[in-house]
Amino acid sequence: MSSLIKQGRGRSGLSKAPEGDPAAPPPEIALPEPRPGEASPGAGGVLAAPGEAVERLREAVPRPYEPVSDGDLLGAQERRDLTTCEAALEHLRLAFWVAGRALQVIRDARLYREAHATFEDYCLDRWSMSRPQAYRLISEWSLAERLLAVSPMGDKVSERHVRELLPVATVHGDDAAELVYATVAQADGVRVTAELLRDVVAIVPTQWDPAAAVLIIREFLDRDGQGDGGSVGRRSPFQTQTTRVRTGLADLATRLRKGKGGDPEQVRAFVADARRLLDQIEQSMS
Amino acid sequence: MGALRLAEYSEKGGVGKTSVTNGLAAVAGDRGMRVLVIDLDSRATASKELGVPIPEIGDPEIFTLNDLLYVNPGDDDPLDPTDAIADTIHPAGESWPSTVRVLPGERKLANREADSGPIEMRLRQGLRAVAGEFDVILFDLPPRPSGKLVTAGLAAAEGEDGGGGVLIPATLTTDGLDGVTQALRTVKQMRQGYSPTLSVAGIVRSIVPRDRELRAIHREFDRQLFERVDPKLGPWGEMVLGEPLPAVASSSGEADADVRYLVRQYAIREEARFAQVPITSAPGREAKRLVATYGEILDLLLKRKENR
Repeated sequence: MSSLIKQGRGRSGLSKAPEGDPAAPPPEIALPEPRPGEASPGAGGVLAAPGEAVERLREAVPRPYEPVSDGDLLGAQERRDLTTCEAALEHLRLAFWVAGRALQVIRDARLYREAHATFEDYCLDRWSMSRPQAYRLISEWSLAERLLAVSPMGDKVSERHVRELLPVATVHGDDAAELVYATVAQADGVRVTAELLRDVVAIVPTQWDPAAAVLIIREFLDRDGQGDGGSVGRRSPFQTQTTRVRTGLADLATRLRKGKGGDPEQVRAFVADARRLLDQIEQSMS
Repeated sequence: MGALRLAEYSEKGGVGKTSVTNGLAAVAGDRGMRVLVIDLDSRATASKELGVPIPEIGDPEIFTLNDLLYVNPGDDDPLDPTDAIADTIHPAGESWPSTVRVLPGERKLANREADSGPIEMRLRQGLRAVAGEFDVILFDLPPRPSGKLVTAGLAAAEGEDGGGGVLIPATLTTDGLDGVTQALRTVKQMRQGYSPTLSVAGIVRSIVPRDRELRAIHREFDRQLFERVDPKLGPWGEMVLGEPLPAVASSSGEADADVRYLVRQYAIREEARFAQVPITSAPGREAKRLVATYGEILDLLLKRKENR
């Protein structure tokens, strides 16, 4: 048809625009050098403005789009988009402990002091965050950092893992929580999940003895089929429930032996009630 | 007489811009008319349906509208778009009539929205070189409130002889009516600057469902569409193509069948898009109805152009 649009084709000197995809990841955010004398340079730079990193990440993640190909293999652009999206998810996974560290810096260095009288006021006013929330994040980050160092799964420690271990860290310290985690994570064939950690934490003895704790945890993992290729998926609800009941009763017995029980009348009533329930369980088997 | 230039535009997405663009292209191409479709949307939906191997899915080196609009900031002697445009126009895929050509979009076209250079008139300038080769030039605009690409498209749609128009597809929904309001505002703004003679070619009711339960609400929106008045451009009712829907729908919907220029919602439209074939090649009664409707719209707009 068109003679004109054939005329001159390829002779215009037109070239492809050199720019990349408009939604391609932006260059790395340049962080300023640490100030002289800073104890821990590491990742301790300061972003130019609050939310800048998040904003850049938001801009980098492409808008949802229809599949561009029916082929099995991803094209170059699709691969870049996948990398960008996974980077965003990676940020989400690790953001909790970065936030915890940031909060601790603000609290310890009293960086809130220009506009707020207390750290609690600052958290509530600036981030609508309650005191317990802020302190939980602070507690989690230091534990998370330790777990990341000992985890055979590399950086796959999740917030839920850390949260399940917090009771141990609170009562017995971070060393104890790290030991519990390492004992579970390094057992053969065990897949670490938050549910498994919750069960393990439930059997940790009230009196902390590292050697005894390791033995108890290993016995627990073996008994419940966790070791040697076992996984939390193989545990039945019955196993989970009985483990918790058994651990709770053992803990109560220890406290009573040490004279830390409550009113003797109440204890006797509880024992009678428990015995009646146990009888019912036994009768249900016959 | 110059080509019929139509810019399919609404600020709302999903109102049928690309359907109308490619539907008109299919019908015009089927009649042997020389058609150019210009895809100003970085999603390049029209280009894909027209079977052009845009960089994302086919030929990474194919020239697109982005390359035509882009000017290297370091280039002291920018390429004249009238020299370059021929390299950016490609035949539609083999399923399409051989007289259909495409100036495709691509994903990187989104970069032009933030281009600091004066690129708004490059498409219009480029078309000066090739417009005489076409009978119909269709502009598939992105669903955005103005911006560089919308401005470039509407400036080019006006044409050198004036009289280019904006065809506004509108679904009979809140979104559809909002899209018309905003599109009319943009047309008025364009008239104040880039395109003093840009006209509203019409408002096309599109993707009108046959769902019985939705008929009452669609009739209400149809009523509103005919009742609204723009203080500068006049009654919307004069811009809407065709007559209002009957006040009461018949149970079979046959009464609606008499309303002309009404682009109904048929599954065959999506199937044709998926298969990258023109609606004129699609089988069945629904495809024939759509082809007939696009044909009516094309005839009406050609007639209006002749009479101007």
